[in-house]
This record gives sequence, structure tokens and C-alpha cells, in this order.
Amino acid sequence: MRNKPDFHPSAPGGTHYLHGLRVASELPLPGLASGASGAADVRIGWGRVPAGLQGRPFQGFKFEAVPGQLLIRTLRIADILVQSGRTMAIQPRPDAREGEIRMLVLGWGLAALLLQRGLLPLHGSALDTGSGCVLFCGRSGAGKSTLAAACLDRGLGLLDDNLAVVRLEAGRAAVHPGVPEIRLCPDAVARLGRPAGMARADSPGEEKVLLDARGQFCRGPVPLRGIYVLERGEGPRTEVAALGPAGAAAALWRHVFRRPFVAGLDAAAPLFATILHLARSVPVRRVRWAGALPPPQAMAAQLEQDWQSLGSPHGY
Amino acid sequence: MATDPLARIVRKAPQAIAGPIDDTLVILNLEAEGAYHHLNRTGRRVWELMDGGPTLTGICGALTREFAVDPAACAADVSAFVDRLVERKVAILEPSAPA
Repeated sequence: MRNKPDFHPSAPGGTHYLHGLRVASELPLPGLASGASGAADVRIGWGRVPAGLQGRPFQGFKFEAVPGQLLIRTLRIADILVQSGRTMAIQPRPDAREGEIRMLVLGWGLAALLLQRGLLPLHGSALDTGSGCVLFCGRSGAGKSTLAAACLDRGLGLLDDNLAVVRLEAGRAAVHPGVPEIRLCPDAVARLGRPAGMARADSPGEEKVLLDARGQFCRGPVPLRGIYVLERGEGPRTEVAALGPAGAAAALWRHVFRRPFVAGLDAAAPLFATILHLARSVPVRRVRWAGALPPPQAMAAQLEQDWQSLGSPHGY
Repeated sequence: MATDPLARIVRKAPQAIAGPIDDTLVILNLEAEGAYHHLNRTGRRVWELMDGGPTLTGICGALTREFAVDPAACAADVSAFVDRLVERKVAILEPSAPA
């Protein structure tokens, strides 16, 4: 790529499988499934990005967008230009750390790229129950990752901890594997016991730690069995309630990853069509509790009892 | 001279997005997190008739032709329904077009 910024990655890049895409990346992406053959669907590389987009772009918090292009601008980490769902150009800041750049690329950058490709990125953890995938969606701090780690302790497989990308394939919903790690707050680590393979997160000032889940990582797509939306509410117990299609559609819309990007990319209509399809065809449950997050092992057990009542999706 | 309220023009708000679920309709206000509206079959038909920015009179005329409804009752119901959509910011009412 021309006009590369002066940045020295820790290792050579490579080609990886990520959410059903073959990704060729100059930025090292350790831990991702590698060796994808065939032409790359997505290219991530170093490059200079423009100061702004042409025309009259939609202006958001730390980003601007026109259909087909989204420019992320951060003061400390990097500017990233995402184009047509196919390329990401990264212009790092002088003191940016590689781990911070990776988080931005695999978070905001990937969200923009997936939306440009017409895919549905939900903010949630995706786990394989052995007979279909369940998603735990919720705001940051809702307990998704803690619950995901508790589910791994029960023998489930991990598809992703932060970004659940739902694809409709022949009219059926499925989730492809993403990143094989879980980020946990220190208090969540304490509540879960002491999971093996803990490592310090690779960003300074980052309190969260990484749980390496490669030993329980799914390698292929898994049909979607059910979606759980985690919300703080009132009442003495954890309550699990089925949402009707309209309520399910609204709940899923609330948990689109980086939802502010949608308006700038003019992606609302196709995204909503996918959400309506899910709301009609996949069970969506609301999970509410009062106060602090209940013991994750107990919540995982309660939800497992619930999803076992859902039945298996097609293909199982 | 008083303006006939049924002569007002109603349009779908740009921040509203709608999609069908069976014979009902879900409308989201993209600018109001969590706000959604679930319209029954009749409400869905009114929403469909709002394409192109008709007057309330025009919507009532179409409904009375399609359904066996009293015109006066239809006018009252449609006015109230559209007012609720406007309150929830998924529809916009404009003054009637000049003669």
C-alpha cells in the first residue's frame, strides 16, 4: 500500500478466517484461524487516510460517513478508512500500541465493514451449545462476557465474545466464528474462580484481562438457536421472558453493534429487514435481574435450562 | 377562514423505518432508542396509504372504499391515529396545500 505510515508491527500479517470472511491483514491478528485459501474478501493494511470524506458526510462521534465509506478518527490510536466492505486502511498515531490498534480494527473498523457488506453485527457473545448457537446481547457492563466464560466452564464452545455476526443463509440464521478470546473485568475473574490461561490485556491502562478460548473455539458456522437480551430491571429474581416479534425486533435493533454507523452508511433498510426475519424465526428472550449481576454460574444454568426448551434449529 | 383539519397532509418521518410481521407492521423511530410501534392490520393500511403524502381526507376516502366503515367515524379514528404517530415522531403533519 502506498504512503505507508511509519509503524513497525510486531510480526508479519497473514490471512485469516473471521466471521465468515477471508481477511488478508498487514496488522498481525494473533489467535485468529489462519491459512485461509483463495482470494481475500477483505484487505486490512497500513496507509494514509484523508483528513475528511468528500461531499457532505454524516458526522458522528469520532467518525464520519457516506454510503460506502466510513472514516474513524481517534486522537490517540489511529484513523481508519473503511471502504465498500472490502478494505480497511489504518493510519496509526505516533504513540499507538499495536494492541490498541487491533481492538479498534476488530471493533469499530470491523463493524463498519460488516454493515457495508449488508451483514448484521450484534453487540453480544455467541456460544455453541452443541445443538445450535445462543447469543447474549446487552450493553457494555451487562455481563455478557462473564456469562460467556461461565458457559465455557459448562462445556459450551465460543464463537465470539463481543461481536456476533448473524448471516442469513438460504433463509436460515447462522453465526460464524470470530475471535477466540474473552475479555473480563478483574471482579468477573474473581466471581468465576481462576480460569486457566489468563493473560494481561495488551493495552496500557486496560483493566480487563484476556481469557484464551482457543481450546473451546468453534471452527465453522453454527445455526442460531436463540437470542438472550440482558437487561437490568426490578424484582427479586432473574426473570426470563419471551419477546413477541415486535418487541424482539426493537430489542435487536437496540443492540446493533455501533448502531450510530447505520445512518451514515444508509444501511438501515437492509439491516431492519434482517432483524425482522430474525424476530419472526428465532426465539428472543429478555433476561432481567435487579441490582448486581447474579452469580454467573447460576445464571448460565438457568439459561441452559431455558434454551434446552427451545428446540434445535435446522441442521441439528 | 378555519382550515379543515382533514385537509392536512401527512408524511412518514425520515427517521421512521417500518417492516411487516405477518399482517401487522412494526415501526421503529431510529432516533429514539427502544421506541417501536406495532400496528394492527388497519393501522398498517393507514401507514401504507401515507405513501406520497396524502391528505387525511384522501386516506379516509380510501378506507371507506375498502372497508365498510362510517365516514365520520373513520375521519375521527384516522385523525386520532395520525396524531399519535406525530406525537411519537414517526409521522409529520403539514398544512393543507394552497387552493
